[in-house]
Amino acid sequence: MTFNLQLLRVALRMQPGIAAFLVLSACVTSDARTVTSAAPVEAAAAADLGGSGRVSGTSGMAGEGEGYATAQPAKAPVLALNSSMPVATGAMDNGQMDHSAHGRQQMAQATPAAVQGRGVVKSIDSARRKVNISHEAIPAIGWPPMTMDFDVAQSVNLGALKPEMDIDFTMRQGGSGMYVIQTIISHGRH
Amino acid sequence: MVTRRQFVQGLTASAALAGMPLGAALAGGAPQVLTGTDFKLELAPMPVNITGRPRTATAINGTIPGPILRWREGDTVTLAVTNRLPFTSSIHWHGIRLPTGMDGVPGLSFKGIAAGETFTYRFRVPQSGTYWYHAHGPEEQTGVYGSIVIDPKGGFAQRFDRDYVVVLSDWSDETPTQIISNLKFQSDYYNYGRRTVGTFVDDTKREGLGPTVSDRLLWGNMRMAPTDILDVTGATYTYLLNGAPPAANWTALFKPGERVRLRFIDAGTMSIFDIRIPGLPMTVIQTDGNDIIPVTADEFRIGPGETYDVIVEPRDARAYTIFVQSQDRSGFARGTLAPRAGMAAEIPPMDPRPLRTMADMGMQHGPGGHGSASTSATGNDPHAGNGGAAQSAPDPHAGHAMPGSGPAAMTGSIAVVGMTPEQAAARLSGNVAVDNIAMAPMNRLGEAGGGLDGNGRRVLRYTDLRRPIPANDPRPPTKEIIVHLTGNMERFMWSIDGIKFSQAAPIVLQRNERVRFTIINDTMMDHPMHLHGVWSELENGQGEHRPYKHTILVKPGERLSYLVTADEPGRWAFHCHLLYHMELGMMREVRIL
Repeated sequence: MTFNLQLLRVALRMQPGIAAFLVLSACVTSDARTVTSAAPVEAAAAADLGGSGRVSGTSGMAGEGEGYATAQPAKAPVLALNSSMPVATGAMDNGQMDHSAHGRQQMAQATPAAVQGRGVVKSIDSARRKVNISHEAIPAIGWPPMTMDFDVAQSVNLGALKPEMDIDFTMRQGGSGMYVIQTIISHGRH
Repeated sequence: MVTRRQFVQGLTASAALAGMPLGAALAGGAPQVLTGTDFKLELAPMPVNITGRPRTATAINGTIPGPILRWREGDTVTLAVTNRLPFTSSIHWHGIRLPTGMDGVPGLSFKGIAAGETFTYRFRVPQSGTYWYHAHGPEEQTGVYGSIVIDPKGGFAQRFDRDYVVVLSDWSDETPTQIISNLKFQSDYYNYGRRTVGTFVDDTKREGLGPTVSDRLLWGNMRMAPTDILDVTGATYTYLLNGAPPAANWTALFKPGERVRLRFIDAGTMSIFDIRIPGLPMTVIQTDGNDIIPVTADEFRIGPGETYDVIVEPRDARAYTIFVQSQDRSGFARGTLAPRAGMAAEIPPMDPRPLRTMADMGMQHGPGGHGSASTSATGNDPHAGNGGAAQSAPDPHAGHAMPGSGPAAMTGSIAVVGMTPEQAAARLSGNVAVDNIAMAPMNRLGEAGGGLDGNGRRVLRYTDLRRPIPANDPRPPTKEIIVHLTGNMERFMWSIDGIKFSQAAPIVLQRNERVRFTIINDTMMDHPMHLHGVWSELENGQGEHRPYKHTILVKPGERLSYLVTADEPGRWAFHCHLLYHMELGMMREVRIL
C-alpha cells in the first residue's frame, strides 16, 4: 500500500476517525478477519418478518410511533386505518386543503374522494364485514343523521371495535355506488 | 486516484459470491434477524467485492447491512457492541428515544468504543415502528449500518401479510478519505453532468444566444454549477438495496392479493433517493417510525436518515421492479417483488437529471425578471401556499431577532434566537464559509422536490403527512431558534450560521421547554437535518396532527419550522445527515439542561 502524501495531509487535518481510514486501508490484507454468516448463503434472499397478526390488536391502542401504547382518553387512539384518499372534512385545517388542491385533484381522477363522518357503533357483524353506526349529519354528501349498516373495507380491524364506541370514520363510494368505510378512529370514550 | 467511469451496477449475486469464498453475506446472503432483549454486535473489517474489485468493508456481525434487530415496545434492551475495527467507533440508534449516554455519538454521548473494547448499551424502548442504527462516523460509508423493527404493544393500525425491510445505501470502492479529498480538491469532482460547450450550443439553439449567455454568466458569477444536485454520485457509488447491487436483484416474495409491507430506510451517506414501483401504487403508512394517515403515491423521495413504510397489494402473479433512483439520476438501486425467486421485471430508464433553479437559491427569478431579492421573505403567496404553516410560521419581520447566541428578544410570548435573512446577509457576507444567503426563503413543503414536480406521477409531499393522533404536547412554543444552513460549495465547506461545528457554541434548551426550530437553507443543496434525542414535529399545515419525525429534508432556498419538546436532558447532536457535510462542520450540539 503506498500513500499519496497530499492525501495524507488532507486526512490529518480532519477528524481522527477519517484519518484512521488510512490505517484501515493499509491493513487490508493483514488484518482482515473472516466472518462467516450464521445464515446459509442464498442469492438475494429476503427476510419476511411476518404479518400484522403477530401482534394482537388492543382496542384504542393500535398504532406505531410514540404515544400509542399509553391509553389517554383525551386523545383519539387509532383503531384501524386504510384511507388512501383525501378526506373531505372541515376538521382539516384550511392550509392543508388549499395547499394540496393541486395534487389532490390528480388523485381524485383515479378514485372518488373520501368522506368523513362521526358516530357511535351500535353493532358489529364480523362475518359479513358490516358495522351498524348511528352517525351524525354528513354535510359533505347531504346525509341527515341516521342509524344504518355500513360495509367495511378488508383492511379495517373489526376486532378492535366495540358497541357504544364513539368513532370518526371515513368512507368512499365503491363500484356499486355504495359507501364503504375505509378507516375508523376511536375517541377512546365508551 | 479513481478513474472516471460510468455507474457500476455491480456484480450479480452469483458472481459476487464466487468472488467471495469467505462466506461473507454481502450482496445476496440471507440477512440475520436478531430478536429478543439481549443482543451482541461486533464491528469488524470484512473483505468484499461489489464491483469486481476486492475491497475491505466494515461490517456488523459479518453482514452489510448489519442484522435486522427486532425489539418490542416497552422492553428494555441490552446491546453489547464490540469494536474490532482498528480505530474508535460507535453505534448510534437513529430515532430511538433514550438517555443521552446511550445515544452513541463519540464526543457528545460518550467517548466512543475504542479498538478492541466492548460497550454495553441498555435502555427502555418507549416507541414502535421502523428505525435504524449506524456508526456516527466515516465507517458508516463502508458498511456500519442496519435496521431496527419495533413491534407495537397495542397492535398494528394496518393489516398486512408480509413485512420486508428495504435498506438503501451507497457503496464506493474509494475510501471516505479519498472521497473527501477529491471533493476538497474539486467540489464537482463527481459531477460529469456539468454544462459544457456542447450543451451551450444546444441551449443556444433552443433559447437563443442572449438568454443563454446571460444565464451562463449568472451561474458563472455565482460560482456554482446548476447540475450540482448531489456531491457524491454514481461516478463512484454503486447503490445497494439490502446490500445487493442492482445486478444482484434482491427479491421479496408475495402471493397475489397479499398486502406487503415494505420498510424503506435511507442509510445512504450522501444519497437522496426517489422510490417507485412501476405498476404498483404504494400506500404510505409511516415515516420515521410514526404512523401517518395512509396516503397513496406513485413515488416518494427519501433523504439519508429518513424512513418510510408503505403497503403494496400486487394482484398479478408477475414481477415488479422496486426502482430507486439517486436524486441526480447518476445511478439507481433496484430490487424485485415477485411471486417466486428468479423473476425480474423491466427496469425503467432513469428520469432526466434535474437542474437547480433560482428558487433553489432562495431568490425569485421568474420569467418577469432577474432575482430582485424581494423583501417578501416568505416568497410565495400565503393564500396559495400552505395556510396552516403560514399561520404557525412566525412573521419574519415580527421579531427583531438577536444574532447568534446573544440575548433573546421577546416578541409577544416567543423569544427569537438567530438571524433573519437580512441580518444573515449583513453578518455573513464576506465570510469565506458562506457563498449564498437565501434572501427570499420560501415555504416549499408542498413541492415534491427538484426533478419530481410535474413528472406526471403522484409524488408524496411533506404536506401529505398527517399523524392520526394529536401531538403529545399541546403547548405552543415559547422560544424560536433560527438556524441557517450555510456552505461554500466551490470549496466544499459546510456549516451552520457560517460557523463549523468545531468552533461553535451549543444551542442550549431548558428542560421541558417547548421550542420552534426554524431552518433557513441558504445553500443550493437539500440537507436532511437530524435532531437526536427528541422528536421534530414538522409544521406542515396539519395543525395538531403534524407529523413526528427525526430527520427532515430541507430543500434548497427553503424555510421550514418544527416544534420540539426538550424533555430528555443531555448533549444531543443536531446535524445534516449527509455524512461529509456533517464531518466538515454542518452540525451543532443541542444541550438540554
